[in-house]
Amino acid sequence: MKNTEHIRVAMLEDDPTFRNTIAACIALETDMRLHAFATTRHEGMAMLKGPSANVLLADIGLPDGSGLDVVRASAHYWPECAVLVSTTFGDETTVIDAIASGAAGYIIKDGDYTQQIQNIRCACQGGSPISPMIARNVLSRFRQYLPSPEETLRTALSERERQVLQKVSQGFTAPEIAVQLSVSAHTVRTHVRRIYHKLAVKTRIEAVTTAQRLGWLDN
Amino acid sequence: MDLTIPAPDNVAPDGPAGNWQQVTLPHTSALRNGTLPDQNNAPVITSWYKFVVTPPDALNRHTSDLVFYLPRWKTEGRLALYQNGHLLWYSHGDLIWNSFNRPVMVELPFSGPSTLLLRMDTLPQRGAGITQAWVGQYNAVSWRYRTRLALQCTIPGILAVILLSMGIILFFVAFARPNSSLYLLFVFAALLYTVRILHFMGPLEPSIFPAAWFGWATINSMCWLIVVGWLFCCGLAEVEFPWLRHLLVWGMVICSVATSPVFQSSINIAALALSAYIFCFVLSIPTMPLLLLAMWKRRSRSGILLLFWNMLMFPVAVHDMLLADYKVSIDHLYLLPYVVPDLFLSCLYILCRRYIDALSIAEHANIQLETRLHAQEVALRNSYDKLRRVEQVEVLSAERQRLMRDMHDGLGSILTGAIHMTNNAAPHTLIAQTLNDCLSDLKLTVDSLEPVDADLLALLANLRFRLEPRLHAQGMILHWSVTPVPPMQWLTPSAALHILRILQEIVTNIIKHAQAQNISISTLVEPDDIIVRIEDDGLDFIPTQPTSLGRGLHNIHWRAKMLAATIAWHPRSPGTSFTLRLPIEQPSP
Repeated sequence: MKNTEHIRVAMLEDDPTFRNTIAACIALETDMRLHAFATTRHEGMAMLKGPSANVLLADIGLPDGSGLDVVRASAHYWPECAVLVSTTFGDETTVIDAIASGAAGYIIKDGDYTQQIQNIRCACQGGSPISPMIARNVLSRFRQYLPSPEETLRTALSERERQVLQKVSQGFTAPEIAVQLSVSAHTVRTHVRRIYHKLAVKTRIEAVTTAQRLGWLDN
Repeated sequence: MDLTIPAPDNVAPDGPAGNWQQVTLPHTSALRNGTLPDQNNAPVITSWYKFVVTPPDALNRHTSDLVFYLPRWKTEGRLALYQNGHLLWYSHGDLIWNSFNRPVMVELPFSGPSTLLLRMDTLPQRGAGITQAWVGQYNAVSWRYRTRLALQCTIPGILAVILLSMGIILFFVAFARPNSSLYLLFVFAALLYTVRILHFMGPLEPSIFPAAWFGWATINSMCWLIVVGWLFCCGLAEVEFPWLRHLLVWGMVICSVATSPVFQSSINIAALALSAYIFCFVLSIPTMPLLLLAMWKRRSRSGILLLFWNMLMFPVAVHDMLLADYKVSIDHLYLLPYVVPDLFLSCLYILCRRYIDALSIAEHANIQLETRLHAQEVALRNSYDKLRRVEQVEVLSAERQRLMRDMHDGLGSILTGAIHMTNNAAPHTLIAQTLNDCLSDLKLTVDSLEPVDADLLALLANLRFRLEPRLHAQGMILHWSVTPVPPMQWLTPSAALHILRILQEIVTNIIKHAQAQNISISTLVEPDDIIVRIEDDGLDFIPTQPTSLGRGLHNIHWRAKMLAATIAWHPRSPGTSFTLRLPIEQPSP
């Protein structure tokens, strides 16, 4: 099998146990290989200078800073790479921050390994993992700080995207939503990825408008 | 001689024969003597004044231009003017309430040298007199006539109208506000003054209004005016003379009744006027120094001004009384119509001052009230903030305690169990299972803290997300058929944890004991309740006897009780259906 057809997975992880476990799982997959790994923010930044991976698993809490810096920088250095943030519980604050920084989703560290591999593969194919709580919070993020929440939500998200988010927040899985909306599960996952992307862009625009309002961008 | 018979049209051109005397004008032809006229015995007195007119020849061309002008005359009777024995003019109206205060100007038809006769009839003992008289060209004399007319009739009338209109305004003020007796007194005074001033506008036509009642009103209005003015001063100074007040008011009531035409003739009423005036003045004079002292103490400059005008009334009133009694030259004007309005204006000034002061006090009070209200608002907000902070602290500490208890009872005990297992060299899988349980418990606790905004579905969705991997690992298929449910406002983190624990316990039981292939979680909305149903197709499980309940089931019952929820198991074939019935509104404790 040629190198190019492998899913190249890069890891930014300071916990050796988790790193080793994932590395072992990847080794078992015929179409995946560990591309590179870093254990600190500094190493992570250095890693981005090298050749791009397909999927980057990034931890947030690193000994020398936040993994989110690396996530943000990856959009510049590895624009083709899908970033998954690894968290313990899939807690929404971490995940939402990561999505706003450009992440494509997350994997849960204590989740079963088949699920983690499945998430990596999903991210590589342009899909995005999502949980009900995250769907809920993404919805509220789009509504937040805006003069007419419903109106803005309508302009920010397409009707389909909004439906998908609502269904996810009610506990339905991608295949179930696909059946209800008469589309493929892959389309549902792509919707989620697009929503994530919009959130990241929106967050960036918000940052810029806030900075403009506060006069940081004068001159 | 009867005064009701009109003056004859023609008399002897030189007047009746008799002993003519040369007199200087103004002239009083008869003095008053005696209070009440003796109509039966004493005769009517008729005085004749003769004027010899010799105009310069140059005036002959303008025959109609010559006029006779008499500023004032006074008699309780009638006046008539003859030229060369022909009647030119005579006074109209009532004999007593005649046009005594109205200047007379009569055109002389014959412009050559002539003799003018002025005939004046007077009731016995009532006095009579005339002022200086002028004969001349209209242009030369008319300004005197006009001025005199304005001073004696027009201006007093205008002043009365002004005061009356003020009175009307103040009446409405007094009407709208209780305890405004001063305003009412002003209104009364204005009315009385208007009545009083009418007789200066004379003559009275007895066919329009009875002379007796007119006289009664004229005299009593003056007396009442004095009383009302005095009451106003007392009210303003806030000094009471109860004894004197009763005397004056009741005295005046008696006087008004006694002088009414029911008991007296018109002539007698006019004669009694002086006594009534004196009665009022004499009684009210001694209180003036006391009132002045009260005003001085109150530093009321306007009050002192008012008293000054009031006291000025006395000499003026004396002057007018003497004028009426022929003791002062008849050339003089009556002064009361000029002094009384000043008095009124002082009153009006005081009332306006009071009104303005009251307004500014009200404004000031409003500002003060606003300030106080603002201060209270701030205080209220502060105390509310404080209360809220205290409440928040309490909620936080209660939540912290709950979490601590929960961790101690749940996580703590499971972890302790795991440690014991490692010490006892328990099988590896058992320890792993225990630690997994521990992690599940921790996740559940974390999930219960997620803000779900009263949305039960969010809670269930998260539970599914947690359970799915385990079910998947067991090869079980989860059927998710939830429908939107109404918000449950009582869904606090602790309530959420109870629900999550109940449902997790049920699902865990199914995984462990039921050997089911399919598991279905659904929701159902009823008017008062939301029902969460978990169905499986495994072995029957109906806990019937409470004693047989394990620790987990005990927990489920206890948690359901805490939620005011009911739980039930029903057999299916195959499998079991579990229902958790949650009230939409939590019953108040």
